[in-house]
Amino acid sequence: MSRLLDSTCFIRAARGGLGRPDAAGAQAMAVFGGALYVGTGALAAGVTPPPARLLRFAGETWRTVLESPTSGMAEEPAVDLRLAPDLLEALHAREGGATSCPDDAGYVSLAVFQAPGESAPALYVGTASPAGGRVLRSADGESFEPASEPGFDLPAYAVTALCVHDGRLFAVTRGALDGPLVDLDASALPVVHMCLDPQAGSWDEASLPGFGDEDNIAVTALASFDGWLYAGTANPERGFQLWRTRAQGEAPFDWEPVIEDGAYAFTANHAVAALAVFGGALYLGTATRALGYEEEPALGTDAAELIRLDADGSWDLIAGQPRFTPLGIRAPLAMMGAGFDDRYNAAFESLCAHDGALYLGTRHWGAFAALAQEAGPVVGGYQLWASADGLDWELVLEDGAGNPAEVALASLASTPEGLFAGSANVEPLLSLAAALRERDDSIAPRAGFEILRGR
Amino acid sequence: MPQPLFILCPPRSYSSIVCAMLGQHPQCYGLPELNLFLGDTLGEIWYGTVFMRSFGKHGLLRTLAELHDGEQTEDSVIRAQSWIETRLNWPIAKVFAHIQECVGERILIDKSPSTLFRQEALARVMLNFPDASLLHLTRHPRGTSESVIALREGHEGLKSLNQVLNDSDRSDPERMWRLSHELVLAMTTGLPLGRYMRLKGEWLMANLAVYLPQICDWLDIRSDADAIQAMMHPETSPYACPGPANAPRGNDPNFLENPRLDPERLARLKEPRLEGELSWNPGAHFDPRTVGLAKRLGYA
Repeated sequence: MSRLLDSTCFIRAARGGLGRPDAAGAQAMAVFGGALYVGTGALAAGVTPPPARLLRFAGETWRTVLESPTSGMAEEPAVDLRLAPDLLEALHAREGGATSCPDDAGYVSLAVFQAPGESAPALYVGTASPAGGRVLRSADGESFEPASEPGFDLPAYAVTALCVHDGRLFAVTRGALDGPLVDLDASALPVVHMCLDPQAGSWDEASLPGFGDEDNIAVTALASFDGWLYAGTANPERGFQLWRTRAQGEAPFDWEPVIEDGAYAFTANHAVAALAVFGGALYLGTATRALGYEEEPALGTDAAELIRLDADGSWDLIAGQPRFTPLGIRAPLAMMGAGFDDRYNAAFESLCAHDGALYLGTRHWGAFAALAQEAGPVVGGYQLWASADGLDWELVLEDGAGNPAEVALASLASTPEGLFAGSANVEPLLSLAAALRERDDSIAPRAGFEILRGR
Repeated sequence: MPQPLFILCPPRSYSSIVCAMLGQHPQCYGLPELNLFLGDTLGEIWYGTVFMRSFGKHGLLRTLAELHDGEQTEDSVIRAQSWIETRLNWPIAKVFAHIQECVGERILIDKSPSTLFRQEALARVMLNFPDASLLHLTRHPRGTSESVIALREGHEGLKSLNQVLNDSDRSDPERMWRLSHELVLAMTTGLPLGRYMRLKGEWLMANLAVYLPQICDWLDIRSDADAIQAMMHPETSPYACPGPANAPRGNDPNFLENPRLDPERLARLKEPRLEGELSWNPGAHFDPRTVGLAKRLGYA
């Protein structure tokens, strides 16, 4: 019987963005060479971001092994199209004198991969950049070389997922660039990329755009499970889709749909946010269209769902709204509704198996909703949930572990030293939202990402 | 007594035939449109709206006539009217309880579209029946709107529906569709798991064998072949025909004229599309809010 971590098991391994309060996210984690690597990133808010950093944690100390250069490649910072204009305006008014924009605003995905013919695995980093995200490679975790062209030769902002399957490395991008504007819901080209030769930086397209469905505007998650490569999409017209392939034969491969129409919750389940293998099944966390920092999403009350997929392609609802489907009635096996019965959990953003249990990190916009009220406590922020069997879930941490600006757990990693959880911090947006509501005195959010360690 | 089932949808959403089908289950009883939730007491609803002074009252009259006298005749309807007029101070929950007592241990199924005319009407459902089952039945906004327009043009009495409803927002079928579904979504948020379920009417009608057993499972009633077969005959409902001259309606006029299922026709049901001009409003297209809500409900 595995032991679930509870709130008393966690300490902060990092806070305040590790010396850079404007470092908003601990976006990606991976264990390489016996050490934990964490990629950091910033909000795409149109203000000059801090340089992306790749941090190495070993021997209880953090060290920056890679920091984005400022070569002028990225001429101006990216602006997330989804941010409210009044918040953007306030952010810009707060910005100090103009500074040069770093080449990379984030290191947002990580993978460890040993290519055929190589003697040892290498560390791969997916970047976010106004000049186009790309893949970097390091054999030693210290020196990095490009392993792809920026944006795969497209206006693609970030390489948001890397996945090793059947001895090959796959990648997807997210964020369609149009000048400084970036549509983070969409991809410049919603395909799965497959690495042919990492050292030469050559890649091929492993799928058709959107798997042949133009309503799939992005491929948002990848996972390897039971001999299949799975890919989840964002689909604003009918809800997410989940596709899979054996990845055999000539690329682009034959893919088959596994789940469509947002698992029949339609656009309430806008996208696949996270995938993880646990207990012989693939777990899928969904995302609504709520960003996590609006006061009230346009359509109100959708929240994230958790789905379990078996190897034969059948699926069950673990947490979510009960519903009739063409496949039969689906009621949540965990006896919990969408968002684990919390409407503010807009996405189940991270999933990770650790020490015989499955952990889930949420994106929670409750603090912004609370600000919309004239009075009352401003609470909210990510939650961490745990389950020993995938069915019974326990709340481990809530309210951003005491900081309402910690709106999401963007990354989770299982290591011999414990479970690590990296946050996404939106302190500038929360503080400005409070100021716009004249509720500055209601909150004292701390800036910069945090990293918790539980053991 | 079992908890009732309320079918929530705007008019022209397959609710008449769905209510009649489910009502033919041996453990259920399908009602015509009672329109009970337009007020707090029987007197409020009986004299409170133009709607209930016209065909809106036929469903309750037919129900009471059937349950009190075992038949729907002009005489039994007159007696039902008298019964009502001596109980105008009854709260609506008491009226409903009386009907439940007459029916016995069967699940009452109500499908009155007037429940979505006003937020307070749906609020009365939630307040008086906090443990009831709620089935949110949907239909494509284009199909709903075109059907509303066709019905209004085909039935003289419905041309005055705008005045009856006293709500200009709902005279536009698209707005009526959107406001009704927004109301259901808003009012059902946070209900305990399983109390509220949503179903596309097109899916149900085209795949009865798939969805009727699911609805039975949800309601925790039999889903054996006999029960399903009984549900395939909505025409056997005592309310699946025009009533006597003094209460002829109580349900959708088209359903009253032709209550039988036509599985072959239903299997060919095709959902319309959201894009394209509105046939009832040349040059116009669906409002983006309608499109967004329709996509959320599973329409393209």
